[in-house]
Amino acid sequence: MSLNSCPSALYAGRGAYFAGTETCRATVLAPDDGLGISSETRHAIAARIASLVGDATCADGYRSPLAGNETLLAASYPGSVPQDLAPREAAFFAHADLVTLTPRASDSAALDRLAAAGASVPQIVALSELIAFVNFETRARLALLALGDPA
Amino acid sequence: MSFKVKALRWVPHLPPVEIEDATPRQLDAMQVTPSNSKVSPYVRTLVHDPDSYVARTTLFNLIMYSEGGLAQEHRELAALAASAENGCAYCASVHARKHITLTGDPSIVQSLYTGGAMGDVPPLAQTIVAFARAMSQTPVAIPKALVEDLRAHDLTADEVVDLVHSAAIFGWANRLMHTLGHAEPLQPART
Repeated sequence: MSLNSCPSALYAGRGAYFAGTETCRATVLAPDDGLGISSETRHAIAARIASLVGDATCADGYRSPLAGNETLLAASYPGSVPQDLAPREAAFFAHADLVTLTPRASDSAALDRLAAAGASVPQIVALSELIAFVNFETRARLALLALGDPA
Repeated sequence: MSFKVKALRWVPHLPPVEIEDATPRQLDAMQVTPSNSKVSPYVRTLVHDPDSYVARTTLFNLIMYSEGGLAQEHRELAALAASAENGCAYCASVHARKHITLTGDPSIVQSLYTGGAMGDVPPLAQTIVAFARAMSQTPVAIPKALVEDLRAHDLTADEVVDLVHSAAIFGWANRLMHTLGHAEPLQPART
C-alpha cells in the first residue's frame, strides 16, 4: 500500500517535518508489528477520520487500498458502520469518531468499551496513535492549504 | 497577586508497561539504561506500541524545538490554545507554565484560562490563539479573514509552518494524553 496516499502540502524550509510525518504514517498505517489491527482496517479508520476533519483528498487516498473490501470501504465513510463489521472493529470506528469529534468527552469508560469489545491494551494504544496521527496530518495539511504556499 | 497555573500529574487509564516486563524494542524506545530506569507512566503507556511512540517523539521534538522559525513562546501559545480547545487539562497546564516562564508575563495565559477578553493581548498572540483554535475545530474551519489576519503579520515561511505544526501536533498529543489518562493535582486535596 502506498505510504503517500495522503499527499502533503508544501513544507517550505521544514523538510524534516515532512519526512518525520511520513515516518509516523508508516508506523500507524503499515507497521511492522500491527498488534492485531490490519493495515486495511487502519486505512479505513484513517479515511473516516480524514473525512470528519474535512480533508476529502486525504480520505480518498486512504480509501484507495480498500477497493476489494466492501465492509471496510463502507465503514470508511462517516455515519453508521456496516452491520457485518466485527464488534471489535466496530468499536474502533466508534472510538475514532469520539476522539476526533469531541476529544474532551473521551474518558476511561470509552477505553472500557474498547476492552469489552475485545481490544487488547496494545491495540487501544495503537488505535489511539492512529487516530491522533490522522488528526495531526489532516489539520496541518488543511491549514497549509488555506494559507497557500508560504514560500 | 500574579496569575499562576498549577502543575498537574497524569494518571493512566490503562496498565503501563512495567520495565521488568518490557521487550527489547520497548526498552530501546524508552531509552532505558542501567543508570536511567525511571520512566513516566505516560511513556510506559505509549510504549505498548513502541514504533509509533519513537516516531512521534522524534517529530514532536522537531516541531516544538527546531532552530529558527517561530519563537518558542509562540509555539507554546499555539500548543496551549489547541490544548484548551481540545479539553486536555494536563497539556494546557504544561504549556501554559512554559509560556509564562519564557515570557515572564502571565497575562496572556490568564486571559485564556479565565475566558477574559483578549483585547489587551498583543495582536500576534491573538492571531496565534485564533488560528490554533480554528485548526482544532472538526471539521477544520479557518475563515478567510483569519488567513488575511495571519498574513498581515508578515511571518516567514518557516514561522508559518512552525505555527501550523505546533497547533497540529497538539491535535495529536491531546488525543493521547486526554484519552489514555487523566490529570490530577500534584497534591491531593485535604479532606
